[in-house]
Amino acid sequence: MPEIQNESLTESVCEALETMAFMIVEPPEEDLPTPTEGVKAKMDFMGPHGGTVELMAGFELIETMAANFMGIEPGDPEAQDKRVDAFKELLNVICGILLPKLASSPGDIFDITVPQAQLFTAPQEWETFTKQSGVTVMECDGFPLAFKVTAK
Amino acid sequence: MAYNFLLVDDSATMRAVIMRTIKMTDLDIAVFHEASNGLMALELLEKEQIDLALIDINMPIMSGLELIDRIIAKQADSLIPIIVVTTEANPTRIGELIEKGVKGYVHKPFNPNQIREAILDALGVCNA
Repeated sequence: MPEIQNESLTESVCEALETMAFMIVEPPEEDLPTPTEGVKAKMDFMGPHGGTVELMAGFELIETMAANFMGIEPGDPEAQDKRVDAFKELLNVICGILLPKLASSPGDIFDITVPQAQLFTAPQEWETFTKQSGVTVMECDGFPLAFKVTAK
Repeated sequence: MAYNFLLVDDSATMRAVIMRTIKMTDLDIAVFHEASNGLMALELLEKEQIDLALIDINMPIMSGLELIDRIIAKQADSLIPIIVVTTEANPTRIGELIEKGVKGYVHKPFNPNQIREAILDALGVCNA
């Protein structure tokens, strides 16, 4: 089950970023720069299966994603202003794609919490998260993106 | 006719995206009113003339589901067009909303055309 969930989460992350921000997510081919500061967002889901989805990235990637999402230039101050909000909305959309994949039947109903975001300001926090079991690290626009689904 | 829109979503980014999408249509826009939860939206609906509301479901303080129920209770005879823009994909829940009188449903992630078509349908406008 955890492997299926991780695979479904990876598919959901790829679909969300491609549709919302026109960005391709791929397995990393080489060592990627470790983010020194950025955001870790999480949200819980309840229903036939319960759990938590976590998503973590550095500000470079998040600002590019926010700009693409809003159709503005990456250097636009609005992209910086809304970067945390955009990252939380990305997680919300990822969960919206993921949950039907986890359902046992089409009628299954899931409830979700509002996404919560926490800033990180040291590369150690990135390393601590990505070393956890079940965390997937992918590459997007030359930067790493880490995510995990935990069943409860 | 210039339309007054109400955008209800806890994500300021999503409200900005929807606003930009609406500006890409040829619709005559009077005002965009924004609310980050259902309670704020109810206050705006009391004070302002709204022609179309785009409402998210998963919001803090008051969810979109509760907001829609409250709007329906208050506007039983002259319900404003409502489009739900949400990550919710359960067909039963969406069906219930449509039965209640919601005019349109757009699933996140969406492309701009889906929002545009839902708005034109809900307003009964062609070729905008």
